[in-house]
Amino acid sequence: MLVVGVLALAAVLAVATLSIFVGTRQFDPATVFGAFTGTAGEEAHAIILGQRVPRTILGIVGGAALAVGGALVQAHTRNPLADPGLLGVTAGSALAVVLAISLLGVTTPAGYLWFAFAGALVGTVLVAVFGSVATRRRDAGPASLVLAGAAVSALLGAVTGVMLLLDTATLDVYRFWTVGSLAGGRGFEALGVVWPFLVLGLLLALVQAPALNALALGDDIAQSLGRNVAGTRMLGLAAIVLLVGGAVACIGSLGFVGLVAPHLVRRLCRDDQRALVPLAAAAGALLVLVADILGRVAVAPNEIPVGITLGVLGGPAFLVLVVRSARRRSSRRRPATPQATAARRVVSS
Amino acid sequence: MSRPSADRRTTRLLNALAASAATIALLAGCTSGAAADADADADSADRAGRTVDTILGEVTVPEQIDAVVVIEGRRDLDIALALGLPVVGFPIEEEGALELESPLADARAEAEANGATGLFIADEINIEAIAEAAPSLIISRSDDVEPIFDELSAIAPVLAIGEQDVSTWQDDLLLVGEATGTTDTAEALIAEYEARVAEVSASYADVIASKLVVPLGTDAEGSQVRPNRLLSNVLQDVGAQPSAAFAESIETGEGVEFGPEQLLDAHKDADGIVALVNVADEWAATQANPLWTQLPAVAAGHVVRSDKSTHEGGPITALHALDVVEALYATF
Repeated sequence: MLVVGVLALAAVLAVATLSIFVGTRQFDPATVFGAFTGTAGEEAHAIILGQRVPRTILGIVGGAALAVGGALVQAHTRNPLADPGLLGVTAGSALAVVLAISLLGVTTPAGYLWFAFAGALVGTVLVAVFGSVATRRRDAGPASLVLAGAAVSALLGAVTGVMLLLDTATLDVYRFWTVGSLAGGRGFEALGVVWPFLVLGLLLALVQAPALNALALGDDIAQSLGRNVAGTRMLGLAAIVLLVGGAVACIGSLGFVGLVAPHLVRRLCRDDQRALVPLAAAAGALLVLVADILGRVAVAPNEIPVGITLGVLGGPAFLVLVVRSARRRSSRRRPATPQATAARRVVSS
Repeated sequence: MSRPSADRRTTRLLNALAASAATIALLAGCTSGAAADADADADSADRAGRTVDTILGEVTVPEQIDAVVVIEGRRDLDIALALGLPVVGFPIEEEGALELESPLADARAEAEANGATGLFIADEINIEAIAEAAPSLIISRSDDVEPIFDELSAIAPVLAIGEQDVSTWQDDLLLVGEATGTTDTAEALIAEYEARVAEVSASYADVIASKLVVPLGTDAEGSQVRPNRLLSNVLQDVGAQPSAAFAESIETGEGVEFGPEQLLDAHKDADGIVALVNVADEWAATQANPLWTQLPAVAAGHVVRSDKSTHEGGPITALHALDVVEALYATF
């Protein structure tokens, strides 16, 4: 697993380097290096240090945060199709930001930050409550949770729509949230404020990873194994809010990262949350960086916002996940379910 | 857009009652003398109105226009206000949507003082609100009215005009002028614009001939140049020499767009820039962008600012855009 981790880190560094070398404005490698040493021209300096480096850092941090947030949501709900976007967390965050812009006149990313967190919290709580109420089983079923998420997202989206309908000035600012973008360096200012929260969220995720393995067996078994289920849930909720709220404040509500990134590495770590959390972070960073680079070169000299590129890539990926999930459920003789794998892991530890 | 059937039934009922009343009045008129016949003939001529060809077909507009509603709120409102038509309703413009004052602000304020009011939020057409305003004429962009043409026509004749990619504002001004009996005013407005164009062209002839200019929309996502925006047309009317990006957009007839990294490279040949930026924050961010400050036109101070309010409009906006263009050339 250490080898996989090192390879993942190397892949992130390689793609990050590519992100600094590739763009709609082409520079030779010497000029790129010159931008860091101060020997390149003013234009190269402004583009490479002023645009490419910030968007690369934003891609890494934002992608990792959304992916870990998604992995936590999937683990806590025991729903492989869950992600912060599908479960209304980013919708809550975006609505809170729209309310802040429209009603309170907040205009700085640092100002949005607290509303993004509050919205993420409200969205998370609403989906959890409705999901619990909707299901008749003790273990929340994927369908009920996804439906609860869809309902909450629709509700929050409707309120957001009304706000934007009444205030087109807010709409211009809100575009950033709906599409999600790394361009312009607007999010980099927010990152200067939110990074402690993102670090805290990541630490919380890593700390609770062993408990998530037990939760995969169901609440009763996890409790019988000595896990504090309620405490783990609260810790998970806090981590999700910190990670998703912070990421959305920086790069907008990028779709599909939290859903797809954990699945890219799930087989590598055999659903072991201790490995899944850091590997999902690397996968999320890679996903966002690759999508951003593709968006920069696909229609040069123009660019496609990373949120749109991710939507194009993530839509088919989501469908694949749905089909796989359906097949898995229909195959009753499948020998190794995530619960069985987790049971073996817990028993052997 | 909802169209409650109950309201439609009510409208039909009222129309039927009005038609019955008109029929009774006409029958009563038959029993009157010669003078009454002459009045009836005049009334009949009024009802006949003026018939004009629009992009959505022939429309007959009443001779007497007491109330006009515009739906799109840019070219249609501009033309109606410039022609002095009795505007009673228009789309609501958001407070603070744009930092710069609208070119139509004064004319709209005057109309509001005369009773005009915002009927619905722009792009959210409310047919009931339009019916409530009881217009004798509806004017709007054809794209907006085409899907609801029948509903609107049940309220009042609908005069569909074009937009920047379909027709010039002069064409539409003359169309509305012909339909409303204000052709002389329309022609005078066009003549006024052409005179101002000639004046600016003559005053800055050397600068216009030697300096490359570009109407440049810019934000964090990049920059774009469009050839058919009103301000772009005004630049072409005065004979502006286009920058490479502007020339490409004119040649292709479509907009050209550039990513944020391209800001300097794509527009470094421009000697003058009309920066199209809508809000203060975006303008501050643009001015803080090192690629922006490295642009030769910016470094030399040959930049004036406008916003999307000059993308589309009629004679009032065109004259305002001409002021912006003149201000740019005055920086040289």
